[in-house]
Amino acid sequence: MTSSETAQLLDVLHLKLIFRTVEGTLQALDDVELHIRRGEILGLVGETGSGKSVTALSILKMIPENGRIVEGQVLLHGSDLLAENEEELRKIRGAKVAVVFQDPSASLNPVFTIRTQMRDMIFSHQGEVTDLEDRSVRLLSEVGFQNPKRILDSYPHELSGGMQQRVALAMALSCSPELLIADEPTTALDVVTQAQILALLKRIRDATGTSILLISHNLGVVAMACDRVAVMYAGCIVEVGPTEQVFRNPAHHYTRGLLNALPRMAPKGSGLPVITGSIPSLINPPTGCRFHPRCPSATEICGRERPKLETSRPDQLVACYHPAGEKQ
Amino acid sequence: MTIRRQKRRSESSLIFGLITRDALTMCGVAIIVFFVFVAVFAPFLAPYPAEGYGVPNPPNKFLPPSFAHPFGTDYLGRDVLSRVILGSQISLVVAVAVIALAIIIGTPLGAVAGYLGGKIDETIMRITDVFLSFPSLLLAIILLATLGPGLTNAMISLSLTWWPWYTRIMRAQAVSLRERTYVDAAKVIGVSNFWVLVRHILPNALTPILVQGTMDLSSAILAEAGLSFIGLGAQAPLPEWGLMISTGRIYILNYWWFPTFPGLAIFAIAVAFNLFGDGLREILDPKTRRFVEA
Amino acid sequence: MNPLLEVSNLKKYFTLRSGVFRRVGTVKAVDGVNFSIYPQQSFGLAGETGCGKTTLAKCILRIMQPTSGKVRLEGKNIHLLKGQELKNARRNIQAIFQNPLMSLDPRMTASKLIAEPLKTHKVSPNEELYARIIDLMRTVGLDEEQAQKYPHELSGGQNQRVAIARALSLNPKLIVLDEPTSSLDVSVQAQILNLLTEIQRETGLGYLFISHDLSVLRYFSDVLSIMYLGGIVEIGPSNSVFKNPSHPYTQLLLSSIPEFTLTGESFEVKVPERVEILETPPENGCKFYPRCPVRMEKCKTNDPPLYQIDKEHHAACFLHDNKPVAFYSESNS
Repeated sequence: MTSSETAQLLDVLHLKLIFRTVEGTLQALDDVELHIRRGEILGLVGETGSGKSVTALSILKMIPENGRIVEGQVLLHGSDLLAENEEELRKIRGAKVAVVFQDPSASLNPVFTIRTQMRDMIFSHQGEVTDLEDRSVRLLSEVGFQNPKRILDSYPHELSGGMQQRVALAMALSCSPELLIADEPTTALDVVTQAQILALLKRIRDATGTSILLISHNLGVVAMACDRVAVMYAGCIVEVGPTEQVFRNPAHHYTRGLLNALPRMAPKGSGLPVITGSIPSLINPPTGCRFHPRCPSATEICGRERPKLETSRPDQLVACYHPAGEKQ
Repeated sequence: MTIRRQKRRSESSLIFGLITRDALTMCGVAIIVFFVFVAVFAPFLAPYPAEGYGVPNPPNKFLPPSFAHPFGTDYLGRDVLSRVILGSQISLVVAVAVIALAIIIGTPLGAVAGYLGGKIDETIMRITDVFLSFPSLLLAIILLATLGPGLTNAMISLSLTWWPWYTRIMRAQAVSLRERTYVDAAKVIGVSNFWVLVRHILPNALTPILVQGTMDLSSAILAEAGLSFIGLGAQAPLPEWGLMISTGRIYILNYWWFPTFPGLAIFAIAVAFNLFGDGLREILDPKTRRFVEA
Repeated sequence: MNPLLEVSNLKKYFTLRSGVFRRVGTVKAVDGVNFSIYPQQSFGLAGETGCGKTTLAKCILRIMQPTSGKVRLEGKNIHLLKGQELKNARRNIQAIFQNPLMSLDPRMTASKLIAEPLKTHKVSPNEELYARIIDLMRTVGLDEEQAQKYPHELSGGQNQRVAIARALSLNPKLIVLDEPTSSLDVSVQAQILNLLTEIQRETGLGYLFISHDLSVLRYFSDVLSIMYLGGIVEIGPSNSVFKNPSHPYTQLLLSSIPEFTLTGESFEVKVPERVEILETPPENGCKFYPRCPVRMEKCKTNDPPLYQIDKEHHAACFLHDNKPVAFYSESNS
């Protein structure tokens, strides 16, 4: 039983992605299912090899040369993005679905002023509008700048990392996208700026109703900013639900292990509980549930057949045959 | 429980696999292997070894290509095929020796200059600049004029004009590598500057040197042939290809075969080294080779 | 007890030049840092990119020359040592860096990497070398079969273990860790932190743990110092600093740390919403002035000294100027 059908913006269904590498075929994503609702901030969290970044790239069909989407659909308002041709996709990228990356210099060209770059962004999707300056100023104030004109005159290298990321956000929002994908947007920023950017993302959502897919390896970042969270492990979604609920009461043993491994309130020197083993190779992933070799509750069926995402607690989905019990 | 069944291939077998995948590179490799084989077994492969080394056979002069003499004979009646085969020995030895010597002289200088910086860097690089400001062939000619013509002297002169290029490459590498964290880590351990250079900087800087060296092999053959052509390199009766073109030059219209075949040989080996060097550079560049991590 | 490491008034300034002759300005990367680390103590240094912590680490490790100030290891100023004396001193202070793929030579196998310090200092005779390497690998949780692997064939966690084995091989008294778990996954971070704790318990060595991650520092350090733009703004026993953060920057940091959201803790502080234009701090004033939500007029013209909040807990802020000035005394050697 999948999650409720209310106000779905984007549905990723049965997404399977492989990479052809020198060492063999990498099973990067296996039957990934994701639903983003209108106006929500969904966090996608996972460690190395979890596939969170490629999932985001797949939504826009921006996968590297050696990757191939073997099956699956990405439905935006019911129509499959993966079935569109390059021409159509170009119209959608930036306009309906915008992306902000970890490294702001990926979005900003060092040899042009911010004004020029915003103009290019707006013109490419909305044609030559007459109120360009006003729009640019408005966008920049929306992302928190108090002196937008000064920013417009600047070059990217004259701005700090946090400021560059705000500009990148302003550019991403310039065409009022329905979905904003933010891939590790704060990882390269210092902690204080990070908190400010996360607060900004929430404000943007509140003001415009844009849905945000926030990808991060940092559970705390997700806890701070996201309404719901999807946990990924080795190319599969293992748990989905409201952030507070999932983090307080994780049903999947991987989520549980991850939260326990954080040095949160542990007294000094007590020894942090670890998940035994290590992240598997995706060229030869484990059969059945990909986490089963490391799971303390694994049984025979876990190694045989991959569990599907099913409701375990209200509004919480987990892919597990033996989900962890509720905390009292 | 699942076990990681796939063993990771070693780096050299990975490179080998990539080399064999590219058709052009393989062509280059094939030609090079062929020439090396010919050079190694030259005395046995040449049908008329004595003539190959220079013993004249006047009654046979100017015979066109035939079954007995596939490349014809030259102005002294010597079998051109034998001369070309024996000439391959000279060309390959010369090419390898010149470049090897240039690398041996240039690389340590560049490493020291780049790693230590400061006045040592300045001194070495200014000397390098002086050498580089001469047109290389002209410099080789000047050196040869002082040393006297001959194959060995030509090799020495060419090495002396070639080393500065490797110094430059190595210095640029050393400057960038000395900032690497593993160099800091070695210093923290207490490794001396000398060992940092030898164990950490040099091995990691070899790739561009190797690539340049491979491409330079073909230039070295051409340069040496050029010097012999103008009479400063190999002297008669050596079966050196450039020399053969030079002496055969005036006969090109009437007896085309004996300057042409050595010329084709030079062409083939030069192209082969270029293809190989190009392919090697693409393969060794981590960007074109890395696989994606999800 | 005598301190293992004493850093006294350490300064490192970089001169910015435009062209060969024009001096444009000075970057004060480290501007008067004082602290001591005692045996078996974990000293945490918290700071973000650009605060000068890496420069400080390099001066302490003697891979960079300070502009002024002293770094004393077991009483001896390491910047005055030369030759064999220096080499011997290096055995007592080792380092582990952030990204093991960059701090390990990609062309050396794990066993060669671990052998390097042993060979450099001629610690073991050749026959015993391999046995010692395997022993060290087991201590850090690696199998013998990983000895012949190259860094690119091992995972991030395994590589960091190689780095730890390398650092331990000389039986140092102090290890400087510069963001050792920042590039590792959370689950691997836990393993590495456990390993480091266990090693300290068994060998009694001291750690200088540099990180931007306060949740890790809270778990790991006994003493915590907060660094901002080249200076230490707060220092004290870890519990004390967390319970009673006394410098506005510390408070700002604590309220921004996402991990604390997970524990449901909140540090009641105003996070300034305005975006800073890149303002340089006033010439003689407090370095935090441009961003400080509670700044006063005198903060613009005076640089606050460290005031004694509590027995061992100091903070450099005029909010506490009713308390005695803490003064740093160097031990005599």
